[in-house]
Amino acid sequence: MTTAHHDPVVASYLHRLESAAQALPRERRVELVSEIRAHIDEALNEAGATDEVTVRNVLERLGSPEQIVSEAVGSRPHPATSRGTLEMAALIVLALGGILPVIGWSLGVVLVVASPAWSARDKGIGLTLGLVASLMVPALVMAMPMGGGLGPIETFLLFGLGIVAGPLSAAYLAYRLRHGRASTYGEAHTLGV
Amino acid sequence: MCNMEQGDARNTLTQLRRGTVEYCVLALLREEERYGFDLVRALSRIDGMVVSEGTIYPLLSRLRRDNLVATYWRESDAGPPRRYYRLTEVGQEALADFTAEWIRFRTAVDALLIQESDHDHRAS
Repeated sequence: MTTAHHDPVVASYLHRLESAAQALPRERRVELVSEIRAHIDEALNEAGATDEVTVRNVLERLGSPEQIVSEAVGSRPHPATSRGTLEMAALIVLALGGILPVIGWSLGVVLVVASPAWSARDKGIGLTLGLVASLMVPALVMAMPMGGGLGPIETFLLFGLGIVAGPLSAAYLAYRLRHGRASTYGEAHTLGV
Repeated sequence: MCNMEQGDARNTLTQLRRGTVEYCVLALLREEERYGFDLVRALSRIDGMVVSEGTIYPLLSRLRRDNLVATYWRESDAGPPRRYYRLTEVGQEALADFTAEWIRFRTAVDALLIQESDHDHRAS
C-alpha cells in the first residue's frame, strides 16, 4: 500500500504537483495532494502491481499535475473579469491615500483585505512592510530642525501612513499581483479553464 | 473545412462535459456514499466524460466548499482510512433542479436535431 510513496516516478509526480499547487491556499493544496496520493495508492492496489509501466499508466490517466492544478485554480468562485477592478482600486487608494490622512490608508487596507486575489500571507507581508517602514518617519522628522510643532504620533498619522506605508504596501502588493498567485490564475483563465 | 467543423463539435462537447460533469458527480452520490477513487472510476466509465481523472479532485473540493457534498473519513479493510463524499440537502436540490432543466433542454435539442437528420436522409 505504501509502496507508491517510495516509487521515484510517483515521488517526482507528487513533487511536481506540490510545486504547481503553490498557487492554491495551503489548506486546499494539502487536501489536493493527499487526495491524489490516495488515488495513486488505490489505483496501484487495484492493479496489484507497482512496476514502472503500471505506475506510468496510472499517472497518465490522472493527467499532468499542471492540468490538475489549473482546474483547481480555475474553479475559484469569482470569475477573472469581476476581479481586477477591486485590486486596482485597492492599490490606487493605498498609494494615493496620503491625500486624506488616516482615512485614505484605512480604506486602502479594507479593500486589500476584501480582495481574494492576494493570499493572507501576501496581505500580511505587504501591510506590515509599509507599517514598519513608516515607523521610521517620526524619528526622521523629529531629527530635522524644522520638525518641531508636531509630535511623533501626529507625524506618523499625517505622513507615515499616507506617504510611506501606503505606497510601499501598494508597490509590494502590485508586484505580488503580477508575479504571485495572480499570474497562475491568469494563465489558467487564458487556457479557458 | 470538414476538419474544422469536427474541431468545433469537439470543443462544444468539451464545454458540455465541463458543465455537466459536476451534476454527474452529484448523481453518482445520490444512491450511495463513495470515496474519491471509487467516484472517479465510476465517472471514467461514462464514455467521454473524464479526460484526466485527476481534475475530478479539484471539482470535488469545490462542491464541498459550495456545500453540495460533505465529506467524512471511514475505515477501509484495504489500507488507510478513506475520505467519503455524500450528497447534502443543498446538493440534492441542485441535482433535482438541474435534472429538470436538462430534460427540457435535451428534449428541445433532440427534437430539432433528429428532425433535421431525418430531413437529410430523405433528401439524399
